[in-house]
Amino acid sequence: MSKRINLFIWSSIIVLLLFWGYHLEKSDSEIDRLKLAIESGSALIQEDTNRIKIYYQLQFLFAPKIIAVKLPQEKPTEIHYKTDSIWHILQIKTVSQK
Amino acid sequence: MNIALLILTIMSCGLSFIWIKEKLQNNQYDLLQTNIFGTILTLSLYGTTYLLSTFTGLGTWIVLSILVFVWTVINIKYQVKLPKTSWYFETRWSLLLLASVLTFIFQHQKWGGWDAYSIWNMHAKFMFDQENWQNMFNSTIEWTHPDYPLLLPSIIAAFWKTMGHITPVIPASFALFVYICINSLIYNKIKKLPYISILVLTTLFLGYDYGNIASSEYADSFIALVFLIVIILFLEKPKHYLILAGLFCGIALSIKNEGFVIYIVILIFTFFKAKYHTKSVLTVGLASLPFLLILLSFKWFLAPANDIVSGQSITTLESILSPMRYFHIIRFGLETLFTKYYMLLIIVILSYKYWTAWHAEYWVIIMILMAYLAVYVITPKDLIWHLSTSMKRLFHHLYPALLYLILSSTDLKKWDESLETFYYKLFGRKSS
Repeated sequence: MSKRINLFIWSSIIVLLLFWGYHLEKSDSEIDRLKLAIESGSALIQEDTNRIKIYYQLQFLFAPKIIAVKLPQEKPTEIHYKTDSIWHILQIKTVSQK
Repeated sequence: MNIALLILTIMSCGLSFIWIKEKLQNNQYDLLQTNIFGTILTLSLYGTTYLLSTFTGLGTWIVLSILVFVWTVINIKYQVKLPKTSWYFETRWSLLLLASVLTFIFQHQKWGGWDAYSIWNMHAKFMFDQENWQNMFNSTIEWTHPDYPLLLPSIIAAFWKTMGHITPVIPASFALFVYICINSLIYNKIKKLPYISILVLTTLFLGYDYGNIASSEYADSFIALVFLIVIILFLEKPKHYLILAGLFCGIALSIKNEGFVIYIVILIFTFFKAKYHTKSVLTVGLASLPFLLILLSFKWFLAPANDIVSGQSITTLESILSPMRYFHIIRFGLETLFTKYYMLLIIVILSYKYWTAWHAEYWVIIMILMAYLAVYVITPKDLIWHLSTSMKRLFHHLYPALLYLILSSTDLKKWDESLETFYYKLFGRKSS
């Protein structure tokens, strides 16, 4: 009986891990959405999103390249970032958090 | 996937694991502990190998080949055989695994928390590109803390290299593995006592920040695990415990800057525990020497100065003499304890009646805590910001080891019996 229960628990763990691994690869995180935004040229972000956070996420995406970023003090409508001496513009469209 | 690198990786990990396991099993050491100690040591050696290959500019496969050769020679010379192993088909441990996986997955975010993608996984991305990894030290991204030791990023990058691409699965799996190891080591202490197991593990899972920090992919859980291993080694004293403690202290050094505090405190503790016997301190020191040398080379030749160290000036004295700073630190400490680590307090209160011994290892925890708090006194950063962003994680470093020490200080059998009686009274029947 105990062996069967164990087998059930271990199977559940393996299935759970496989599903989780697949979900990790396929799901969209904030960083993945930013990557998509770079490709399309505009980003939808929550109103209260920290701009420094976007810069950190951009740098993470581009590492090991180093990027430079111009972050205005006020909530920007666009973020300027530089890779390989070229400035790029990322349009920011804010959305209210429900 | 790089098949040659994968084969070398498996060979290197396998050979070192067999050696470590065999060495530990010579002392009839517990199998679950042995497996965890062996795996952590193997992964750390693997990460260090990758780090060395990046530092020296030699290809990973060259350094791994050397490692495989060395391990083979050692294993042939000492006639090491594959130790007998058995699966842990024990229902309670399987349930613990399932609970760990579930609590981790539900709190986990892809690429981890803020510090994970801005420091640890970011460094791993730099380490993955062995051509341009030194961009990490560019002054425009000082906020990624390029002075932090590189063992965790190296382990992640080494696996990415073996897989041939960057994937969020690796840092997430490593964080999950560390979380499971901590839970399993604590469970291992109480596995024969069902009621205490349920009580302690429930408190572990209900403690909000414990699982949250573990799933954030920060290095804090990794250092907490290594520190827990060092404390277990000192408490249970297997035959070569000083060598192993030295190795694990070296690993702690290579994970975070706080590892240096752990290292110094363990050296001082060993000196006093061995009754001023310098040979013991030397054993710990020599075992950790390879890790220490790699870290010192990194700090000396590559890393920029640490922000807390370089931020010291004449105002440091003012900070030391300011009573308000001490007030804020104590207030934050107590707040963290009561709001984040209240489960530990519950365990202390419940176990108080069954307290049997005070272990000298408590002094290690006290000394480390004092050193951590002393850093807050002299920090050049805004004190309130610094306390609010890091204190709960510093407590996290000590939490599993402290829990283990509390369990080691109590009469567990008596406590379990009283819990059984309580259960019997509550449900009106004896449990099977």
